[in-house]
Amino acid sequence: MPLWWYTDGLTFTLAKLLGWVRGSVRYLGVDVWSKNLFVPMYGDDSVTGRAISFIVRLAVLVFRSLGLVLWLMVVCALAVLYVFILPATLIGLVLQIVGLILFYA
Amino acid sequence: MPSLQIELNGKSFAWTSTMDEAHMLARVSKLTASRLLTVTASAKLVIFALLGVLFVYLAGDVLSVFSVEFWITPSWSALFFFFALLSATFLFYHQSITGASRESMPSALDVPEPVAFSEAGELVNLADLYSEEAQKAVERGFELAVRFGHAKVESLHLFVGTLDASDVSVVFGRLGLLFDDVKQPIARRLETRELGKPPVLTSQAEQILLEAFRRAVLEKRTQVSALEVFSACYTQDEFLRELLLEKGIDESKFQNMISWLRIHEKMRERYSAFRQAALYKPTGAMNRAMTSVATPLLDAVSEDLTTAAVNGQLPMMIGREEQIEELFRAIEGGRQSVVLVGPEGVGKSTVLAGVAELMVKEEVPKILQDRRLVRISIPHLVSGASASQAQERLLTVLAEVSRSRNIILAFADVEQLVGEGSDATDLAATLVDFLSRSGTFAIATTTPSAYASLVERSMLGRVFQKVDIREPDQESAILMLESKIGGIEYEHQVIFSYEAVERSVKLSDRYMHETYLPKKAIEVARETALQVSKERGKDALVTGEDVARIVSSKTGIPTTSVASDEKEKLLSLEEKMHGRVIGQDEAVSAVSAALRRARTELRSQARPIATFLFLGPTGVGKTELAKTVAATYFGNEEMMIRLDMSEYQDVSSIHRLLGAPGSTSGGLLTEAVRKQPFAIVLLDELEKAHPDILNVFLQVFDDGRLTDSAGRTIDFTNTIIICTSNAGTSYIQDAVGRGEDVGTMKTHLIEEELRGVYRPEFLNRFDGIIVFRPLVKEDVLAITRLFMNTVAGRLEPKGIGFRADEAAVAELAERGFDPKFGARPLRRLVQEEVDNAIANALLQGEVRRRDTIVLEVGGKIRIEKGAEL
Repeated sequence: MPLWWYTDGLTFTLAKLLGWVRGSVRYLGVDVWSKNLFVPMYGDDSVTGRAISFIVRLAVLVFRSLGLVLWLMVVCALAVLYVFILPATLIGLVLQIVGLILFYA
Repeated sequence: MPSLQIELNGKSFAWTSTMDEAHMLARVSKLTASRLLTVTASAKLVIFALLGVLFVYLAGDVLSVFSVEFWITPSWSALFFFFALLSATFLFYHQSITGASRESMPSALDVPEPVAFSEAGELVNLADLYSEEAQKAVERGFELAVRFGHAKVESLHLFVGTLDASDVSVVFGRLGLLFDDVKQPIARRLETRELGKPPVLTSQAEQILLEAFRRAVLEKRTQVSALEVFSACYTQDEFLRELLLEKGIDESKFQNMISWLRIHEKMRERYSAFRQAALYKPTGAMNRAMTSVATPLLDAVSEDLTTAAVNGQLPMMIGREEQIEELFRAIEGGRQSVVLVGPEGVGKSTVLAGVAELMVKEEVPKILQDRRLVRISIPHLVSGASASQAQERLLTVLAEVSRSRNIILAFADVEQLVGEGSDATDLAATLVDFLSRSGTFAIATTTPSAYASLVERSMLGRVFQKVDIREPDQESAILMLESKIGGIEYEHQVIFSYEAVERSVKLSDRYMHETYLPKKAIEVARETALQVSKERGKDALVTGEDVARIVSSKTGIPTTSVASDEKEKLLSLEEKMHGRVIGQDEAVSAVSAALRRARTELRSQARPIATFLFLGPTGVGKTELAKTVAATYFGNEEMMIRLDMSEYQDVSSIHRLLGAPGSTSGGLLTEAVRKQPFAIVLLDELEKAHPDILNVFLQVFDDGRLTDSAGRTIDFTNTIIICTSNAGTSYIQDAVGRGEDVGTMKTHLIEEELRGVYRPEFLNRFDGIIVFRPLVKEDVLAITRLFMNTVAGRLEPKGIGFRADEAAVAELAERGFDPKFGARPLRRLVQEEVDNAIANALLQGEVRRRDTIVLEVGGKIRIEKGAEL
């Protein structure tokens, strides 16, 4: 199992996490919003309309990007967790067993 | 050690599992162990988690969990926690490796043929790619060999092994096969196999296992299923093919049945992938980029196809990839609008739905992405509005489209936009102007005839590029219908056999020429399902015969298989016809033979059932024979389309036959055959028609079709065409007088007498030229008796009997017989003498019910009084 964990398991998990990131990009539509940053909303071509829509789009884009960054952080945390959880658990387990044996001995 | 392998993507695929009892046991126990592990690991995890919570709670200080101390200080609670964590990682590992099989199916567009096994390269065991069910099927094959003590595991064993698989039982069920049907031959064949122990895999069986793998790869499947093994057995084993052929299942049926299951599976897969994609597609007027504007008027007169697709309301498109590609090319290449041209029912709307579906998945050219496909309903647009109001509405709608910028317009039957006459307010012009200025484009549909008459030559033709949507061939139509059967089955609670699907397509294609595939086949299937569910209730099986019955009732053409009483009728046709036609043995047997050929499907499908030229003097039974055929075979005398060709003596009368140019009402002949495709066409006195008119029939005799003035193709393949002609009569009479035999007479007639009347290529196209010989005395006597029977038949409803003395019959025959005019004078004589006398007697009140009228010599009648009540 430890061998699998850092070979096939690692690729499998990282691929899955990458899929999550891709899905979130699509879900939040960051790409669509950034592409259309200068396009007026609701077809309003006037200068004010363009200005307002730019500001709104920028704000929405910032929020959406924030969401994406947050999600990225979660995904990264999960990836780090994956890498460290197995040795941490094993070390913790051994420590606990040894400690308990010593405590009762 | 395997003997064969397939080399693909640098790996060698071979069946390396030795299939003995120990191996099977090992596999099963491994499987059980794995399941057990999952269950115990999950249970452990839950228990540990609960216990952990309990311990932390008991320890008193809940917050201490967050301190580092808690984790490094040895404690039971921390120990439990780590155990739980370990279980969790193990569970993750276990789930991951069981979820993804150790080997994944290779992807390739082409798979090479198996080669001899060599241990070079990375070896993959095929068994790892087989699904659970497929592995079981192979194992069952081995078990069978073990049970019978066979030395070898062959295709037959594998075939029997697959029969329990769920997909295979569906194949059997749909093909209308029962295991019992094939049991005996298989058992007999199994008994002849070589005995020995333990059974080994033959190279033929190995070939099958590899072939199943090859198909799975080509079908892009994630595993090899039992169905692939089953169909590989079928293709590799001559005996199995023969066995199924004996049950009426040929190779194309078998393969289409397999693709049916695949279609269903693909539809399921596609549906779930589509649902995933649909999550991201907005359903309102707003696009994802929020650049569009509200379109109130457009919404009122249109239907949003992309929204309908997201909601799963549109039909799935099957096998129109080429047309879609062509459509996208036109749009992408020239930013041009496209018109889909195809007859009613070939699936233009389905192509539109397909485009909408691809737009939902965003698998479309860039300029179609993040847009919606909106179908404008032209009737909605123009309803209740004057021409100028309608134009105003259209302008408003187009302005909305232009401002919104995320709309692709669709028009069903775009020819409706073209105004009749020279009205200045032509909607088409408005649309064309908009499309050419705005940089947006539309997808429209129309029929070929409307395209030719209204679209191509109007302004619409300038902006719309044509994409032909042709009627699918039978094979594709079967696949299209198969994709619809699930819905029909669900709606009517019946089950379709494969034969029913196939015959829906084949029979409708052959006999229903007014509509097009796949729509007509779908309609036939739907109607049959309704009928069957009414007759036989829930879960009834729809068979091919049920479909044939519906097609027969719709067209009037017998398409069901020949039932036993009809068999007798067909075999005794001559006898029956001789009940009405006296003599003329050659003619009667030629016609009977043609009818039998037609009903047993031995005739050519692309020509009329039969074409005959009846030659002979007047009054010898030519027309009578045609009527007799109509009555005995087609049901009644009315099933006859009779044209007196003497009415078509000049060239211009062809318009009466085929319809006047420019009119859509069709001609006398074409309309009659269109309405009654299963009938006798009797062309009387053919020699009187203009020679150019006869040329029209050349095509009918050869191809069984004729095009009328409206451009409709009329099908003559279910008609019997009988032409009668008096040409050469005098020669026939002389020849009979000289005592010449019929063969010489016929040769002389064709070579000499008819040369000036008909062209050789015309005569050559008849299935039979039949010479009716003049009547002789005996014939006339028999005919007189027939007439007497007719008289008796007419009197019967009045309760009055009729009989003629033999001497009276002979006298009538003597007086009525005229070698020049055949039996016609006799009919007149009977009318004058017999009918008149009876009429007088009836009027005078001399005859009452139960009396018998007796005809005596000299045309006198005597009345035999019946018993008083």
